[in-house]
Amino acid sequence: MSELVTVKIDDREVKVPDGVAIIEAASLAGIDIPHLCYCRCLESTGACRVCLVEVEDTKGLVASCSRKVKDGMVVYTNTDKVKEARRFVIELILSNHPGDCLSCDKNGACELQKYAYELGIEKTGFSMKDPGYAIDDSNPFIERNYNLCILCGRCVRICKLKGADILDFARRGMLTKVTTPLDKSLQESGCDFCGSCLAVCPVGALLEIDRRFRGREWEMKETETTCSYCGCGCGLSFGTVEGEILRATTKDPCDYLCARGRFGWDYVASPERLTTPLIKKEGALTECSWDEALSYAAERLLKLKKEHGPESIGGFIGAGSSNEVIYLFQKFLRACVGTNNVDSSARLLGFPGLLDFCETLGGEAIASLEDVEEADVLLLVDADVTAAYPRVGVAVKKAIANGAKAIVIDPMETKVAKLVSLYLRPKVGTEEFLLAGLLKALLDEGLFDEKFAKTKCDNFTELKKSLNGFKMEGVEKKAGLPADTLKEAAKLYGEGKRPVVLFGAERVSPQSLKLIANLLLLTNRLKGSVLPCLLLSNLQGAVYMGALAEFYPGWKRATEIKDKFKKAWGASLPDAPGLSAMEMLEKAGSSILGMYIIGGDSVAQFPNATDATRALSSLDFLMVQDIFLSETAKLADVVLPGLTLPESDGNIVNMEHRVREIKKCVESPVQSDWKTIAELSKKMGCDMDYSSEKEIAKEIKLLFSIPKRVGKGSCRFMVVEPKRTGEKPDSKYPLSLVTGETSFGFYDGIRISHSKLSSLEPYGGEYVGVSPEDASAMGLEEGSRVRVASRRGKIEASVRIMDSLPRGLLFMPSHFGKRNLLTSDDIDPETKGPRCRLIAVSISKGGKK
Amino acid sequence: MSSQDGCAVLIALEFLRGFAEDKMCGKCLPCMLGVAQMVDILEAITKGEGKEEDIRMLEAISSAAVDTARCKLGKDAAGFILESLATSREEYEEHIDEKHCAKKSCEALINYSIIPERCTLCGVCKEVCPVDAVVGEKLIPYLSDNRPYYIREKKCNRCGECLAVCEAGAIEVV
Repeated sequence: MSELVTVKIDDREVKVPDGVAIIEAASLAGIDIPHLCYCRCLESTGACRVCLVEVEDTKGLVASCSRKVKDGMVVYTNTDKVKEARRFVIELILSNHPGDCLSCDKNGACELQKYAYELGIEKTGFSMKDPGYAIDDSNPFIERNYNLCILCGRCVRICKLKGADILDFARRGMLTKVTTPLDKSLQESGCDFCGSCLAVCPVGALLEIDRRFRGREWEMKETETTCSYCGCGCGLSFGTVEGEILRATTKDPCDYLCARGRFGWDYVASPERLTTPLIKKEGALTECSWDEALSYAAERLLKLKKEHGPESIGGFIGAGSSNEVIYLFQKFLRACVGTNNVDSSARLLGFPGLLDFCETLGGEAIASLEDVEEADVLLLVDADVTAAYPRVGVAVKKAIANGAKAIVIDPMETKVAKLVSLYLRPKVGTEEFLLAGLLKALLDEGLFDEKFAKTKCDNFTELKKSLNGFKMEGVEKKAGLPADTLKEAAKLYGEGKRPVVLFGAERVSPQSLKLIANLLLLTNRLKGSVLPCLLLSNLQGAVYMGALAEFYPGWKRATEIKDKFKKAWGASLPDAPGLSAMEMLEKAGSSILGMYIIGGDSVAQFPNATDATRALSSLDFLMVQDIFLSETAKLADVVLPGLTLPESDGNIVNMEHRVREIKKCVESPVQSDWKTIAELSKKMGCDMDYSSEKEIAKEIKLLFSIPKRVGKGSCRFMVVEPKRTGEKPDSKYPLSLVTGETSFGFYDGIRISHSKLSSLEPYGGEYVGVSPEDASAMGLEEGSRVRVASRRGKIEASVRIMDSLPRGLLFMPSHFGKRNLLTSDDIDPETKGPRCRLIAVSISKGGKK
Repeated sequence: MSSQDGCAVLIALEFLRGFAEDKMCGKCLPCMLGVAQMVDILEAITKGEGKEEDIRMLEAISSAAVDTARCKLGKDAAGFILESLATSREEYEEHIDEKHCAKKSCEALINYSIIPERCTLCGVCKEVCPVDAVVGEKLIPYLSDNRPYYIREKKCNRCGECLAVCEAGAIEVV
């Protein structure tokens, strides 16, 4: 904490931290000094000269954004001299701003307009200049009109800090202009369309294309809610006019949104949304009334329950739903249907391995994004943070900019790997050897908390013994990394004061998860020291709500807590353990005969789509509730329209275990998902009397609290033997394929494919990434059509040559719908989830364009 | 043009143009936009299009830019104009009020004219004139009408070619 100094601003005495700029000190004193180029989260440049003030005993005027306070400083922000200078500068800027406020969308929110008004400037006294630049609207989202640009440079600075760092000033002197390298379009320049520049532009030079001429600032109704894409759960505000979303932004322009958050909401208004229930009649889905659909579904489910028992029915819910909907869904299955066969996407994306992980380390180990930003050492394992969870990427970039040392372990050279101090590139599928090597190096070098490990962890000797036979040379042989590099990494991590480990929960193997837990235990880093990055908005919430077969709400094992819920729900609850999603599909048609699926497009999400489709088709009865007629919905007997999160109220839990509120920003003709579940339940003879989401939330609150402190943690080392993960390539399938995230795609695919965002994905996302070495060896060129085959199936794709890939590894975006025709449904016996995202494939030329 | 043989207005204009080309970084707005405004005004004055309020405007911009520009280069550039206005105010006034440049350096404010008494009717000026502004007939004894050449002001582009080639010194700048 820096010392406080006393300054006097406009005769107001304030104590402020030493070293802050005058403008910040004034803000602490409640005085707003007019400014244009200054932005709280950006480095000051002192360019616009609007924030000039007078400082006693200082000659001339002083830029308050760049001058730091000194003890005893006396500042005047509103003297005649200051006002005169400010007026001069604003008038000059107006002379170079040939816009017409009448038809500008920024009208009312424009900072230049605000200051001109405050200073009473009706018209600039200088001659008007119009640079006559062409307006760039060649991309779907951002209109760039540099005629209105006042060269404050905020966009340039924020692009460097949070974006793709593609903007800069070009030329000099009077011809200065903000532009991209070689003045190319945003797409060609590698823009990641986070739109941070839009948020900080003080004038109308950068505007969201979607809102142009559709609503001025004061006409927009702002609803503050939470983004519904990845697990970061960023706060955002939807601007709506007459029930239509026109814009998404953050209340504070310094807060980050990624392309998906800022622009990926247009699917909500897609004309292809489902609005009426459908029933399969004579093989075709036909429209029907809600009552007909629900009565029919209730009848079919009751019949199955009566004839084959409740265990013949299963439920699956996508983790894109709110806590309230997920809670009610599992309650419906457990209390009304009477089965524990309820699972969610959490099964496919890192849970329940992650539950054991948290129980070992204790809940306090989970880091927040602030912890990441303030860390001095970061260790990223299989986490493509900038693409999959961009807000985490920004936190990592910020930490690195602040001097943090970062280590990346990933066979793919991700964007962030290019920024870090140490990039460890294991051979494909050998992360476990590398992590075990790190553990060994920490032990060998004495870089661990011996006292803690010996006294608090009861099986330290067991861990030591397991690593005794482990040879560092083995790591070099298996993972291709020399012992010295590992030692260097161990030293970096071991000596860190506030280190944070980040990993992609959907990518690391269950064994790697255990090795990471050991790493944290060994170094006694159990407070804000690890952030498991989650792919879906409410994965954590789904787990808290009990949408995993073996868990009840509140993260409790079904066996230990059933009685409490029996009482609370007033229903008899099933004893038989539930089946995981993968098991349900395996048993579909034999012991599982009916399924109710909400939001999770199983055919697209489940590995080995051919088998998944076959399994779902073999069911007696399938009901799907979704926002679009997904591939899964096409197989259903009853299809119910679902609600998107921007149309719902409720809560979600993000990857930091923070509860985030979801607020309805537009009305929908579709009824709430919870209402649909409650009505179905009633028709099946179990009354669920809720009047709103709030009542469900209240019931949840009475039962357990989030975040639940998982106690102190068991602190038991999890002894594992490292193995090569994934399907082993052989002569027929010689390459490995990994699926992952891209900046403009998203896991579920269905939302993005109904959004303009998909137009930014190369080849519409239907590509296979190939390393330059493999491409030249196989004679493949960018854009060539190829057939990719695995032991499960074969698909066609376009070739995209990706520098980030090592030889032998292929990449496919996870929103490429057909990818799961290739993936393996090999189940991990412990977590009952898919074993690994890494599969063996072959690639051959051919296929239609 | 060296600074000695120009008028104060042209010197100021050339100075600012040079500054904008050379030292100006374009990052601080009062310097960049202020210089652009001053260049516009000075250009107008040298073309005889100066307005009464221009001197006041120049003073206002330059003195405010001295106060607000970020660096010494910008402040100095503005200071140069302020100084020029203070020391050569009459010259500015002459340009604006009388549309006249006493130092004869502002092209738009000068005219080329042929002194009839000196003209030898050799015709070289007519030959070099790129815009056919010179009117006259070469002297052919007993045949031509023997009248001196003259320059049509409206056509003349003030390039000065004729002045350079006239051996008789019959062309003057007024």
